[in-house]
Amino acid sequence: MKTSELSPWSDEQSIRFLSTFESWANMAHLIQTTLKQDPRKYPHQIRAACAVVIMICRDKLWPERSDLMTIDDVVSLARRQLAQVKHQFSIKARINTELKQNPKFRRLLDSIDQEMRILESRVAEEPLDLPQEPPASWGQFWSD
Amino acid sequence: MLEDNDLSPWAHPKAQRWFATLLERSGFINEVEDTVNLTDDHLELAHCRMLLALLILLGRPGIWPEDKNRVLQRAASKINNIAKNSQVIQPTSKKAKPLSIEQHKRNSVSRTAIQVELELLRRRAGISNRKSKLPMPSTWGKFWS
Repeated sequence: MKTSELSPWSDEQSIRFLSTFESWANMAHLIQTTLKQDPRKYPHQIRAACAVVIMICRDKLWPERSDLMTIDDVVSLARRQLAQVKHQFSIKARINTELKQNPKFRRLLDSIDQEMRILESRVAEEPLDLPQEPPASWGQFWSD
Repeated sequence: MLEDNDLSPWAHPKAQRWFATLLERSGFINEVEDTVNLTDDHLELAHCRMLLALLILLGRPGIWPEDKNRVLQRAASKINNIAKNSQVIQPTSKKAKPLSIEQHKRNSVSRTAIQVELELLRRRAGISNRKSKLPMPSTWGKFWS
């Protein structure tokens, strides 16, 4: 028995319990609606939605319903939109040299790269070799 | 100028408003509250672990609305009660099938896991003020990939 087989999302009883939450499907709806918005207008909201996708878009956790995108489609959409968000932030930096040279801004772009790589891994044939640490800007993700 | 805490996906005020809308408009916070209000005999350990996982992920400053912190606190307290009760070996009825060794092992690992997961939620809810760094829950596998 691998310990990873004991995650809450690999347990049938836990999954059945979650499927009784109507709000879970509502959340999925709101996430996919946000992901379809224009990244030039809503970069922060789209990045937020992508973060939730990273956290919860995994087998059995994402609701399977005809009115919802499949898990692969929603992860792929999040990956594409996050690339656009990064592009928007980069455009901002092009006209603001102070921002461009700010190491924290570089860290933000690096973090978005890591977030995109996680999403890529979710739809790859074989999961990519990723660090066990969260993306650089996510702080002490477990303890915070 | 960007501050350190400006960088996470839940740091920007627009992102925080989006998260609050997501959790409230979907009805998620209300549903968590309703679940926490159920009597203990309506909740199994497996239910608690799922609830815990979702609250560990989403019940963090910037994502979870500050004025709903009491829901996290009540959830932590409820789950703690159920986890404690699950440690007590319940007398089985004559009709009940005995657990297999595999099921016993699974239950034992789940009970240990839930303690670590509970501590994560207690910190989020402000019930525990321990500051030591906590690892990712050991049963969550390769979480990022």
